[in-house]
Amino acid sequence: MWGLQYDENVHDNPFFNEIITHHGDLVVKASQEKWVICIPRAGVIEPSEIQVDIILDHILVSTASNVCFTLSKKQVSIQNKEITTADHPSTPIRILFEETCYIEGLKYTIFCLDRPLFISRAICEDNRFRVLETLHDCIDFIWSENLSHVLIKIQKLCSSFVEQNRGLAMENLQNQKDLIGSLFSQCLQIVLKNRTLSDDCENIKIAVETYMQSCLDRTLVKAVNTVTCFGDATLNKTVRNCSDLQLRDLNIPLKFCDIVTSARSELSKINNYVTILDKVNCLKLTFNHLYSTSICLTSDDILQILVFLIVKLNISNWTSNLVYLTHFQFSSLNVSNETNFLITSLEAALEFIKSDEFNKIKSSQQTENPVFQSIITNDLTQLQDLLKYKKSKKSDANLCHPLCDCERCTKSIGSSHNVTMFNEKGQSLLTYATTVDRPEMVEFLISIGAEVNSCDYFGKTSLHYACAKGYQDVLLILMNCKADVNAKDHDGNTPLHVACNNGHENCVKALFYTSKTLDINCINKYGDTPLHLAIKWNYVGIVRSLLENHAVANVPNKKSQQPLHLAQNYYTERLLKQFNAHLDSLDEPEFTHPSASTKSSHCKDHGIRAKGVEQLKKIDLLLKAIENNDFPLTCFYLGFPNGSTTYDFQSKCHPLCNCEKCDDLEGSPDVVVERINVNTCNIDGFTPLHFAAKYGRTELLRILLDSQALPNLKTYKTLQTPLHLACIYRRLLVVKELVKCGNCEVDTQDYKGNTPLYYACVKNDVKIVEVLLSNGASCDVKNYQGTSIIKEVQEKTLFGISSLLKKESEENDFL
Amino acid sequence: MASNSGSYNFKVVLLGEGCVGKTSLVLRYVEDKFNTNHVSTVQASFLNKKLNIDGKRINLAIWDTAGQEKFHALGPIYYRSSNGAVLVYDITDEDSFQKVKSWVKELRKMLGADICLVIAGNKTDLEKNRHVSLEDAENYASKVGAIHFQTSAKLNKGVEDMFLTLTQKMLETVEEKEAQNAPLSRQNSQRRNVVVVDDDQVPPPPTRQCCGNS
Repeated sequence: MWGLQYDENVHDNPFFNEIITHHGDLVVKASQEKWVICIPRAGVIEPSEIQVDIILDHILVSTASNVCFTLSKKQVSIQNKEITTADHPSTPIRILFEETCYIEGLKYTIFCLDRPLFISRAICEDNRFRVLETLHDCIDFIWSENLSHVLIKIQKLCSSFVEQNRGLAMENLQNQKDLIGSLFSQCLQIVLKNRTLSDDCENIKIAVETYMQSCLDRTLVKAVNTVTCFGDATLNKTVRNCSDLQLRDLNIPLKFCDIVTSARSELSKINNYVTILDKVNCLKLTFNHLYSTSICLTSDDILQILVFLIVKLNISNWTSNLVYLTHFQFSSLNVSNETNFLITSLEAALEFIKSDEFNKIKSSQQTENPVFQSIITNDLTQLQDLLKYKKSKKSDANLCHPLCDCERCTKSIGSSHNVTMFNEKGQSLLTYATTVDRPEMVEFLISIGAEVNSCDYFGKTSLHYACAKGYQDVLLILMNCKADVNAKDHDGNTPLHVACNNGHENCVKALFYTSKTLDINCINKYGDTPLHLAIKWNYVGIVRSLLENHAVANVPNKKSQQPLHLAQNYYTERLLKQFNAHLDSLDEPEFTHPSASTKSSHCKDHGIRAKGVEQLKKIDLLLKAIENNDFPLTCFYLGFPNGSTTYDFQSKCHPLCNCEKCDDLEGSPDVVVERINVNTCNIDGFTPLHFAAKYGRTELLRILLDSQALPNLKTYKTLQTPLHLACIYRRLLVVKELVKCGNCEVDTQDYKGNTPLYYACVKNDVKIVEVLLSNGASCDVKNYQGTSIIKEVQEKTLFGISSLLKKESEENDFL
Repeated sequence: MASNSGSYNFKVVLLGEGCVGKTSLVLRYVEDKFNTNHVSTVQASFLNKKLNIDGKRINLAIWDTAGQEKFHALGPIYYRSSNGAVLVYDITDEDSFQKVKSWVKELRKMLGADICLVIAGNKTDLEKNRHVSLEDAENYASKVGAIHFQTSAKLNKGVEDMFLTLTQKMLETVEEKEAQNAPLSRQNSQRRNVVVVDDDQVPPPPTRQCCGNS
């Protein structure tokens, strides 16, 4: 129960005191006979009314059934925490609480009642003890307290808060809590100004807080979503990858099937609510569905059912919900109440899903067929034997005559193992080997003629399964063998859909690199594009990949939701807006922007993509060589003359010289068969120049710049230029070299809006700061959180830098 | 809050291997014969019980926990900030007693002496199949500063006694602590990040300005 439950100290209750002081014998008897003493709550009975016969009316003699008698021989029945008397059967009296007393060696039970028994009283609702369970209750409560005028004030306060804190989503959790906490104090102040305090302070706090949350609406929810975005993405990935989980996998007895279904439909509403109160109430109702069975549920059952519900529900922000419930509740002080239990249960279920124990629970893979068995046990020789053995036997098949179909002959043909056989789900051997991640077997099966694009009963090909499970190796083999990259299963999902849904960034990228015909905007049965799915489950990395590969961001699905509508956090929202703007510019009339130039303008930001897996591997090797400071190898990959310190055509002794060194220079281009373009990048957008800057390979950097490496290319995720990296890793010489090259932009902003100067300042590297400032870096640039460099420096009390910056900005002002 | 003075909130967790009868114990305690008839739903994982011990009012929140081994790692989520723990084992099952020992170790390590421990040897109705000797169990309990009880949820033996003793012990612990830090209020025993608004004053002005604003 969330709100304030009725409670009073029975020792202050006149009725109880009357019994204790004047009828001690009754109490002793109650203790011996296990009678129950009923106490009307304070204030509902006049002291003059407390007479012996009334007291006798209030002592119940317990029986085994729910009907019992008072000491005055009147009959009452007890059900559902309510007492019904014979004279007023339609208005039962609530038992407010039950208390077991151990006083002066006696033990007896007390029921505290809403009204006295057998005395007619008008039922008066006392606001002080109302239990607020929903937003609706709260608003009702505020109205009934004559505080309706504060509602509009709170609303105004909240909208100006939203206006002033547009960057709320980018704040860390503690800052968000502080901001919301102080907003809550302000709201409460408004209310307290308007009234004197009374006992119902707790309820007012709850009502005000709840109303405040409803005014903040999605802003707060989205902010929390953003903070927890990566945690949620990881959780979603786990959950999506076990979506075929069954009740029996969690050892949930089938008899719970019904309550699980009704609990599921209740819990699915949790994101329809924005206030903590409503969300908790939703949890509570879910639990009530579980308790509605006559079977007693143990904590183990409840936890397992909760895990099952979370896996089965299409809700993508569980972590966010949990953080919201645990961290943004400022009004309630009580730790050990039921709310806390509900939230803790949710937390435990989520924690379990994240644990290794959950990974161990998998739909059991069982098969009797020896061929499939050999795939499970990863026994390649056995698989080869089985398939070969039968082949040879088939050739000299021992049939009665070639067309015989007697039992023995059909058996020998029917049971024959060949590469086209399938299991009870319609999966071919190839598909099956894919689902259990056996690259060597996949290779072998294809080599003996397995059909690459065969479908199972769900219309899924092997490629679907490789994408669903995130097996990149198998995927690359399949793609190499011309698997159909746009094959659709019965739900209209392509392998790309599946990879996006299950959060396998490695597979999404592999699909992009290996296929030219990939249909990135393909829709499934529900009208969802892969982009819809990636956004829904918070996979920021995949969303970026899709957008970079020109996924269209404004396709509505069958519920008319565009990807932007599904964006739950600030990161994906910003990505979409960023790329949408880019799309708009594409839509402009062609004559101003010839398509070729727009394309190149897009490419200008990032390095050239490696084409094909081969090249991708090569660029990775190249970058590794730079990291290891293997200069000759680096030069080899880039096709630079081996071992020479500078690559310069004018470095020949004289134009016609053919001394050994000069021969080397001329000869080398023939030796290198295929050299990598200096501006090629790896899958994350890192060019050789980035790596040279990061690891401080100054010499190499100079060579790269001399051979037309572009200094302003950005990485994909972090949008950082080589200069950023040089500042982050404090490579003074590299910075000098970069700014010297002429066309280097010093004020580029990365994904957080930070410039290289920002990083140099944060790292407290005075020399680099000096170099940057003298090359025109601006210290007024604000990052996306709205913090300027000067402010950051002051906060961190970096005095040396602070004085440098001040000098610089003063000079600027002077100009 | 209405008449909150002189009342205590205690959180008690039940720990122990699956099938030792944790759920039955708590059901037996909270639902005596009289009670079964006026509670419509049976929920055993979270229960409240109000006690009044010589004028001191105590609200016990009893949390049952999942006992299966695969849920072991979730323990801290359940037992954090609890005042007492009931460690249950089955007297016919030596393994369940070993499990209790590991819980004791973990609780003492994580919560120190703040938590009051009670060890319950359940299922005394199956005395003839006993595999854990009473002497061993009692010796162990006194060694680790816990109280040992023999219970039978089936026959309703020792259950109430056990919870009452635990409650009294928790009361002592809290009162001792209060005596030590006399100037601090009782609410301090509940470690929690909350905005405390003093009922007699208007809340303090917000201390932090938004940075986007400045």
